[in-house]
Amino acid sequence: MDTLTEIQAIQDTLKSIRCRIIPTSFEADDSALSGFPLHPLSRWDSCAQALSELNPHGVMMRLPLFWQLEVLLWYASRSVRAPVFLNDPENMPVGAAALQLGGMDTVVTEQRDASTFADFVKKENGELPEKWIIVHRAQDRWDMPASLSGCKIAQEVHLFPGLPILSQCAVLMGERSDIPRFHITRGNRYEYDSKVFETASKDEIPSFRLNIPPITTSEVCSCGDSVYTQTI
Amino acid sequence: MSTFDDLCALVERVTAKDAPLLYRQHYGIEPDSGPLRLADWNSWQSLPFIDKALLQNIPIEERVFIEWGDINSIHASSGTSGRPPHFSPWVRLDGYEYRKRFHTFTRPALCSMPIHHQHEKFLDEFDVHPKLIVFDPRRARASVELARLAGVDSLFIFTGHLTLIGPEAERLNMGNDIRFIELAGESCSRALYQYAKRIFPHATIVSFYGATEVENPPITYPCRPLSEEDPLELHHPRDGYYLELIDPETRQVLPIHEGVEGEIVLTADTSMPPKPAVSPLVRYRTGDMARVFQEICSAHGMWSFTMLGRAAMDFIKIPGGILRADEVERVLRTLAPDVTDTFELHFSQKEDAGSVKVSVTLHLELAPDADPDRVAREIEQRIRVGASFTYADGVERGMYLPIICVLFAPLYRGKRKRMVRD
Repeated sequence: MDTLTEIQAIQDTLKSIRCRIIPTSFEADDSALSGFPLHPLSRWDSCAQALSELNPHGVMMRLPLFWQLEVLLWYASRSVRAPVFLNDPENMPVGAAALQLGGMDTVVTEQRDASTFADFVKKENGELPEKWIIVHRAQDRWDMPASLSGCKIAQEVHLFPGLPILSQCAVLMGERSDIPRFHITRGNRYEYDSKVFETASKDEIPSFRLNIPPITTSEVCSCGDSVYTQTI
Repeated sequence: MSTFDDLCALVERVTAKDAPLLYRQHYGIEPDSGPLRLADWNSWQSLPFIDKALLQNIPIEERVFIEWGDINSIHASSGTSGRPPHFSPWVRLDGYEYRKRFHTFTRPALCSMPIHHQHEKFLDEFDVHPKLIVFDPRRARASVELARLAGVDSLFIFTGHLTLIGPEAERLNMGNDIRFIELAGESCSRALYQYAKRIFPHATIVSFYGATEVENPPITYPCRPLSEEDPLELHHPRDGYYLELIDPETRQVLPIHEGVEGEIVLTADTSMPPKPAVSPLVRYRTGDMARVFQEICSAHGMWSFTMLGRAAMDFIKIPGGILRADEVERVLRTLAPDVTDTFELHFSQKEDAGSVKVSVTLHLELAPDADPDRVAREIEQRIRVGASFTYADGVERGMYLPIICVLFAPLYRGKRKRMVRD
């Protein structure tokens, strides 16, 4: 059974599972859009870890609301005692104002938005916020946005919105390479030979064996975990 | 409602020597002086009002009365033409207990009201699973699809989002599942109420009154659900809030008698709940007009009121964005000499082809040879109601009816208003 069939098979039972539901697509008009169950107590741990390194004053989210990430981001932000601000990605003027007047200094957005927003903010405010968390879509190229060179950036790769498969430790966050390097997100398992990513099972939430884009391992990071890059 | 002692304690707290300077400066307290102590109701009523314009001039960090790290979220509100958004910090997660009077929460909710974690915390009390589904107004179809999968039976939404959710709920045949709807942001018109009951026939519909500037936003609790027989939304002040009505022009406090109309002046955070507000508001002019319905409600033993709209209305929230007086004026100036920039915009909602649509009639000074229909189409194309959304976009998507332009009728008395809710 492939990944999508496996997920499709549980759609009618989602309403009776103790879970949090995230969409299986980044695109709202994807005809294959389904719901994916996360454990109800699951948190966005990779984001919380990145925020603890970035030490934010205020965290601005520019991810689409239908990705269902506000509550998870709020929990992550609470762990570092920073308030959250939701900025509609299509309303960049308010986002720029929040950086100037609303106490925000950290932007959580996706790679597709980062450069456009950075250019807008640079023009509007004269300077960029220093701290960013960038979400890459698994099927995209995981390029570092050029406009952000000089900023502190944590990058993650999500298979679905809210399902990070790759993330960075403090060491990898500090790298300035155009090609970001990642670790397999903690709590999950990657079978290098079969190229399968397996989520952890817990309570009523089954484990899923998901196909992810090809990644290459090269070395072990000083933190002790294997390092992966996108296979291009 | 708060007592005089509550108000005295609040004023002392916000004017303490070590408090942020907001109120000390506003009340003209000397740096060496202690906190302000109120002697009687006259001294309370002589305290100057605060409003959004005043708060907008003070950096957010200087309006924070608790530790910054305790703030949960920051919210932006607009509304004052030509100015940057106003940012309000919120800390509390409570305040929605009144919902339990209207619905037994066993299923998740679809939510567009800020802020989502606050509403999820409310549902946590009932161990509801799956969790809250966030409604994305720009992606209604996907959001409602996720809501269907989660099996939601309640909606916590902005009034304007009802017409975005309704068609999707109809398409997915989930109208009968919805048992509770809370509408925030704008009053629910009779046409919209009838539309909601058609799509969601089993839903209890209540109205919510809050403001972005006021954290923990339910300022009131609803007296009763909306109904065909009793279409008025009725609110009671909640504990921890002190509400006054004033004449918006003379600023005189009005008596709470049946039928009295005035602008709501709000004092928030008077009862020192477990967590104090980030930014307590003392005599804050909301700009919202209300009419006293009953001096003492037989069910709740407290005065009740209904909302009338904005005291000096220069914007109207509509699905997809905001109709702003200054934006209409800007567009009219680009159409000279066909029209002047004097106008009166009449807003209503009308059922059309199975959905409720925004209807706008513009009363204008038209040049003798100007074609009202052509002017109307030009205006539709040029008026922005959102960051990248024109009125014409809304017409194209079936959300708005085409604008109608008519000549001004003679004004026989009173002042002309620029934005009128019919």
